[in-house]
Amino acid sequence: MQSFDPANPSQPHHKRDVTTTPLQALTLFNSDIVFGWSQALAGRVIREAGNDESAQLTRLYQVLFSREPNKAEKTALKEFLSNEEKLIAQKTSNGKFEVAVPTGLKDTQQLNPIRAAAFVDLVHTVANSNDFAYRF
Amino acid sequence: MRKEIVAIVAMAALLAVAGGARSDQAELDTDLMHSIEDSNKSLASNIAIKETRGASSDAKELTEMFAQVEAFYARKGDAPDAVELAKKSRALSTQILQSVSTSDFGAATDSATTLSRTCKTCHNYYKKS
Amino acid sequence: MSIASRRDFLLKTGQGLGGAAALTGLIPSVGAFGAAHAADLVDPLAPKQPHFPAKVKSVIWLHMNGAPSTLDLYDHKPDLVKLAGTDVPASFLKGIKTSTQGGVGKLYASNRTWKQHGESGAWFSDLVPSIAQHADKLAFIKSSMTVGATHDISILKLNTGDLNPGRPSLGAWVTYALGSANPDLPPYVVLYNGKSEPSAGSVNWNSGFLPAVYQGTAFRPGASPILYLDRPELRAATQQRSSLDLLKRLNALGTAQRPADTELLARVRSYELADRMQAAAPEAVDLAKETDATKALYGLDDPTSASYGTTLLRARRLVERGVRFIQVVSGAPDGETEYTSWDAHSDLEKNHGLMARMVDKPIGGLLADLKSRGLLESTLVVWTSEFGRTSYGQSGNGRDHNAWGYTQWLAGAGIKAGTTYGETDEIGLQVADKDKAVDTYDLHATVLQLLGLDHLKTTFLNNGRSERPTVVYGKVIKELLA
Repeated sequence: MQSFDPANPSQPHHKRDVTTTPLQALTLFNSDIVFGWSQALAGRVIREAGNDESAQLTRLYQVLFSREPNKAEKTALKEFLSNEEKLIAQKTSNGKFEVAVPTGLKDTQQLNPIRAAAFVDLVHTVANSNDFAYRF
Repeated sequence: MRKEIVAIVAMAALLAVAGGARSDQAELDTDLMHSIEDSNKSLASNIAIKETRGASSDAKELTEMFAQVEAFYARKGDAPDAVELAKKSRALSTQILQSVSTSDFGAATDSATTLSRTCKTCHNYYKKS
Repeated sequence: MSIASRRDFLLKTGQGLGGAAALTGLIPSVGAFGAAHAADLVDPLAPKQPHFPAKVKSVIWLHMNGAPSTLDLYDHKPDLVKLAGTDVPASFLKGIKTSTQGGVGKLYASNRTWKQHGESGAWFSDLVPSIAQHADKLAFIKSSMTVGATHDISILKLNTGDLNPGRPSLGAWVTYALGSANPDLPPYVVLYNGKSEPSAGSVNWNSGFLPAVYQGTAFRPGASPILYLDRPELRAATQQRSSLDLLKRLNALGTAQRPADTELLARVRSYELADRMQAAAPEAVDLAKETDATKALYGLDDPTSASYGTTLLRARRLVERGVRFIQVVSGAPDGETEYTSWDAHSDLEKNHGLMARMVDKPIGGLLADLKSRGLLESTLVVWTSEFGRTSYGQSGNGRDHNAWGYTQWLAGAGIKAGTTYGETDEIGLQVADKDKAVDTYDLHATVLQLLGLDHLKTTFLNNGRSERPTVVYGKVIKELLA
């Protein structure tokens, strides 16, 4: 985890470094561990908001940013979801049936795995977008 | 804090000198050396940002502290090189004070860098570590 | 339920993933943000003009890890050979404090043959025949000196100017001062050969008190140079691309709403660079398009020099792609377990026989290749080490550390090729004329000068204190400049 600059204990400072490096960005976007968190968060959002797409998006933004997505964001997200489902469907039809699905879901929730995988991609991307990964 | 240390050390040096027969101070006070190092670093920064008051204050302190170093080695009697280097350091500090007062920060920078090198030269011979 | 902090998110969603303790070190806390940094943050890697025009655009910093004995490579001392086997005459030990384990041994000479090369007549031993071919390209610094008797500390001083951690490396200062010349690659890259990352650690390419974006990026040996360059296994390339496109779109919406938010802009830029790096970095290090002749030139056909040759060939490719500072740390040939660095306290003959064979062809090849491609006119190559080795022996057939006098060299744009600055005493132990001693600060000042940067004007305000790469020292060695 050297790519994240931990505070240097040998130097006094009243202001921590705020620049995100490309290495940090890569880690956040590509590391399996972080991706696993996104799967868990996706599971949590579905558990809490149910199967309705709009409700899920609202719940996700509430959890991450304490606000609701605005109209432009909702449009972008919904477009992404329908497109992503197509991409994943294509991947699975080519024989590769492994997809990353949300984790921590109750058995009772019947989910279309392809749609769920698309939602995981969405959650991971939103979690990496400026608001969340950077501020708190 | 640093000023208090300088004052205390100055007092100690004065007392040591006034004591006359008491020459049992075998080694140079490391606190004095640390103060010199701190002032030197502060000086470099102040010259770089053209902070006249800060640079002058640092240069003045250094002049006083190098006088003490010179006195110490003169008393010791067996370290003529150290005396010379301390003298040179004091002269450079005075030069820096002069340059800063006329806002010639370029000259001040050169003298300050030479001063730092003089520290190293003396340490090569006289620093125990 | 709202999340108050990033730590919160990790705790609440990352159950069973190592616990909070493992994660808190991950996240830097965001403090109050000063206006002074706003401008830098708009794009911290935007190209910046040097203080004055200069030829050098890229630096290849060849760190010979473990400290080679330049007495056995470049610094020809016939008197040392003559006096070998006798005690060091006392006069040569004046002014230095030796601390050799086992005591100061008798003067030692290894089995070398020496020849002069080129018009400059520079001396090279039989250990470096390829580098010798380039005698007239080199500017030797034979009066190098430094402090510190241990590797880690002296390596830190060589790279960051301080014996203690906390200062930026030379590469970080260069990146800070000049920015990036290629938006698709990190401007500051660290290369190494061997099984693991250089033992002295990443503190040698860190950004210290400079913004983190200026730290070096280590490229690992092998096809996958950066950790996390590849997407997680379960995501197809198409998914990766579409996700990154969504990210861009969301970020664009964010920046449209908050156009003055420089932190946000910087962050978006980092993601964009990361995105581009995913393709650009593997391409940069892929040698598939290099001809067999080129590969042979760098010694890739000899198992001893293959791994180091690969790093130097990569370095040349990075130079072509505008990377500003390439820090190459020497390691050991693949499979070598006995001699893993130049640190020959014993067995110097075998150690340097191996190490020299590892680097000689590659370095000669690099110089030839840069020259033939016209890159030598805009590149600076530096042979450097944390110190040298003693004239007196250790353990019978080795040499101890020597910070009092050793050799380094420069090659490339802006230097006075075919010259030597300074010298050591007759037995090669100490710098002969202390006024010509070249400390690490002086080397840094000179490298910066060659890049068009005045070390005194390369400053950064850290906690109210103005800092520069050369700390409070530094003298440009004008005699090395063309």
